[in-house]
Amino acid sequence: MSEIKLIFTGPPGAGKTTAIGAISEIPPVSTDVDATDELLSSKDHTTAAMDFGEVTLDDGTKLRLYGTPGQRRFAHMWQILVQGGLGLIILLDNSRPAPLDDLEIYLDNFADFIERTGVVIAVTRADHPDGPPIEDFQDYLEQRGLVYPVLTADIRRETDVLMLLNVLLSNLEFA
Amino acid sequence: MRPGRQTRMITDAPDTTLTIAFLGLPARDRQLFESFLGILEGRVNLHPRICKPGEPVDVLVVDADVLATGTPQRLPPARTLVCYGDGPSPGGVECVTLARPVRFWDLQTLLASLSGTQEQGSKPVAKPDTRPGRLYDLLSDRDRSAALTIDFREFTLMTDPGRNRYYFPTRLVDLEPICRAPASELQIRPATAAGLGNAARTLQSGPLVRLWWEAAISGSQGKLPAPVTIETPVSLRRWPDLGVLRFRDHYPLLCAQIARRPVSPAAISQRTNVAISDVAAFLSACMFCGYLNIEDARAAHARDGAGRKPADKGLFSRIRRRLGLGSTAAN
Repeated sequence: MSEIKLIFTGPPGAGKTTAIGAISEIPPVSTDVDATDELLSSKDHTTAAMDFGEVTLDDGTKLRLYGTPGQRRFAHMWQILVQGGLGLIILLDNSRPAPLDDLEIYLDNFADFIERTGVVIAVTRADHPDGPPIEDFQDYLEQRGLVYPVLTADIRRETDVLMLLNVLLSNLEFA
Repeated sequence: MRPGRQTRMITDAPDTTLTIAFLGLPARDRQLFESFLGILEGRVNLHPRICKPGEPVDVLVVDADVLATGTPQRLPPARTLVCYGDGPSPGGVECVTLARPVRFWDLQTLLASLSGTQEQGSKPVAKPDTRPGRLYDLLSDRDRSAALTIDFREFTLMTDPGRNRYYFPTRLVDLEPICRAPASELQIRPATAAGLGNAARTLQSGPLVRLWWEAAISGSQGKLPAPVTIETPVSLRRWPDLGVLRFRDHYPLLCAQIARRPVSPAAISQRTNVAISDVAAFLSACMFCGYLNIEDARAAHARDGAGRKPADKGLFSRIRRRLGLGSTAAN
């Protein structure tokens, strides 16, 4: 039985676990631990290794959904998780102090994988009063010469998660 | 247009008459075409008419099934080839796709696009544009960086570029009525700071790009944005935020087509099987919102085919089916 992988990444609290849970046909497996340090104010738990979910296609192929640990100290795992991956979804939390810096971190760390495959960038909590407007993310990408899809999304809504996948698949299929 | 291809556009036509021939079309579809062509006579800058035997063919409309099963190289010579209906892309043949059954706006857009191409090489034909203007046309003539008040019947809608928001009354949640309204029902005037402040407090609001996008989609009426013709390569400067627009299934497909390389509207339609009028509306909206680059044809040709390795379309179809995303138009 063959398998393919989709990767969800982004800083802690951006909604990776929620996004995988929205489409997985099995209860998502999360390796959560109690949140410490800077996360204490926003989350009780955080993902220390990875999230995992699964969708079975009609020919038996398993579509595996992997969520990377968000914290940068686990960056060494990111390159392991993307091996053999089909594409990447970056989730950014616009209520964090510097979401554009977060974007830079993930674009840089996954640059090779994105170039080989495809990416969708989703900005959650887009209306947060202290967060930059979506145009700032678009400006940032344009300054770097990148034409990547960047969308506002509410990851708690299954329709929004499916929209991200729709965009990613179109990008992989036709770009 | 790439040299050596079977099709060429009518850049050197000596007059404005456009001869049209059909191949393999069911009688009912052919009747539809003939009926629409009769209506279109005089509405575009060409005089479309059915080709007489032995006459050179400007536009050859071929049923997609004929293209799929036949030998495209043996088609009668024509300046523009139109593939009618959904089907696999004919290998080695460059053509424009028209959705089946043919729609009036699609045909008008196609002929208007051919007309635009022709005018580059011949003197323009002065014909009045009888189509009614809409919000899109009115906004196209104005400085949209200024705050505006738009009156529509009993409603007032305001734009606030400083905050990237528009304000609207609760009852006007759907923007479509105002975007589709004839220009005669709309009045646009500058907004005052006091008016904006009041609107921000009392009305609902949305991202301004949603209004611009919807105005262009509803108001372009399937016409390509000037100066884009059906053969002009275009590319995305930035992706539209599909999360705030009224989502349509073909948007991601069209964005993906032009995200990595420039592609002409004709080729976009051919590759995606999205009707040319929908492609034109999409490109109009991209242009209106500042998301589109117009590329040099030679540079675009050099970059064509610089995409990733061919995708496993069967796999993507299975994923879409399983997640209930529906198939893409090209599948």
